Amino acid sequence: MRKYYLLLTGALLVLLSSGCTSVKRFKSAKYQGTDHTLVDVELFSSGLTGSEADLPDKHLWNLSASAQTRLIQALDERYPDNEQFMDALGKAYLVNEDAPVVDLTRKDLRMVFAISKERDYARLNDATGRFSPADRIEYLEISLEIPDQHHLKFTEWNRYVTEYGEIEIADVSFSRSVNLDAGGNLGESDLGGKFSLNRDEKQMVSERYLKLNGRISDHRVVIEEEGTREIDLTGNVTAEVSMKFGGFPEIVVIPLFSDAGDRGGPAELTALKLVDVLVPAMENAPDTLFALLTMDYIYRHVQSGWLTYAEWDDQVEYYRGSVQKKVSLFLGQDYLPPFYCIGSDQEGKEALKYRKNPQREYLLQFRDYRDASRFLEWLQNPLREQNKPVFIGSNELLYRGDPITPDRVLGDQLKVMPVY
Amino acid sequence: MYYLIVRNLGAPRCIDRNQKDVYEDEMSFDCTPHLECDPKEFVKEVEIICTEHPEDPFVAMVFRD
Repeated sequence: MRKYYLLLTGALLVLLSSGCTSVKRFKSAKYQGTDHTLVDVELFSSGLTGSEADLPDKHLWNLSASAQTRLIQALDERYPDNEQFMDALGKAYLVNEDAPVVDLTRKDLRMVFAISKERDYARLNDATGRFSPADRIEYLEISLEIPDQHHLKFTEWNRYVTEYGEIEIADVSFSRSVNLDAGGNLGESDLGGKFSLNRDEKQMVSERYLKLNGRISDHRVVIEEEGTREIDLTGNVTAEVSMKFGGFPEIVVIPLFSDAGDRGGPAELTALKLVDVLVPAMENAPDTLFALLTMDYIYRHVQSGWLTYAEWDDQVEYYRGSVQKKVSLFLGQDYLPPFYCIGSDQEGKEALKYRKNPQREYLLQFRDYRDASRFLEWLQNPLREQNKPVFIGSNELLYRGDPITPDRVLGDQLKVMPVY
Repeated sequence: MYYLIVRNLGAPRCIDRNQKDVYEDEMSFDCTPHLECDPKEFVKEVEIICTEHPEDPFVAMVFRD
């Protein structure tokens, strides 16, 4: 009989202890003031994507699978010679003259924030110390602000990733939670709009790992994170947002060559197609674009009770803190259009232009190095009359205000150069 | 001769020239040409609109030779 009482008492103790863990948040809590040294944040990495000048032309490799098959069959019939066939495969076939403006002002920015705690193990048992192994960052708000002088603004959220889960957003603001489903898999739920709790939802909230909020304005992006029971916000956070520069119009040329025929002979320029492009509008192009990173946090320090994993017996002290620093967001090479021209930088940078009429002269700028290099090769063709000005159709080519001749191309040592 | 010069991404270009100083704020220009110009003396700044992209007004400089 005595054994049964002991067993019953033991079972009651187990029930009581597990009951405490699910009902009590802590044993006691008090706010201790501010301490800005407990937590730090770094912009661990950041970078822009979407900067390639994807200009509208058609070649074998961007056709559909069925179109590729048909084109290869047609080329095989037309060019039985292996070299001619291989050459024809790499040719651009269609350049759409009425193509819409190519927009290089929209970019995606991916940022990885590294959030770390000060781990002062040397003062672990010191009553005045502010570190215990059970401490955690309970709440944080990360804000990133870009100066408005760059005509650059945030437009929408794309993705948000923490070690507890990943959510796709595609909006200007979001409010989500990351939780465990019945099978133990990570999931997310939208907390936007009206929100009333029924029994199932209450259960879901109790299982929730993180509460996430994000908002975005023209020059500022804000991420808010709150960890629930035993969830420490230390770690890496990845945020992806879309950005847009102000736009400035440019014209890029695409040279078209008829070199699929006589192999070995000089490539013949058949046309110069003009494509309207919108590039970032920025008076100067800074090598590095900086932003102001701010993080406000609430630090949960366990003064006593940290010997157990459960939190219900913790005596908690809360500290508020803030970190602010200037961070490098991305480099000039990430947003500058990758255009090339032909010219020289010996007596000040000067490049080839083409004249449509006396009031309309345009910089001859190419979408990539390959196009510019091929055009320069065509210009230096030794079979051309070396002292005769070069025309493309009725358009004259100019260098330093004068018509250019193949002689001068060699004499002035013109080369392919980046425009920016 | 007066010249209208814009500077974008660190690269200056002359987009218009005129015998008189006709340049005023909110005037519209084709911003794509690169004309031969000989700017020597700064005259003023004006905010122009590029006809190809009127959404974003752009600050240009007027020079004379």
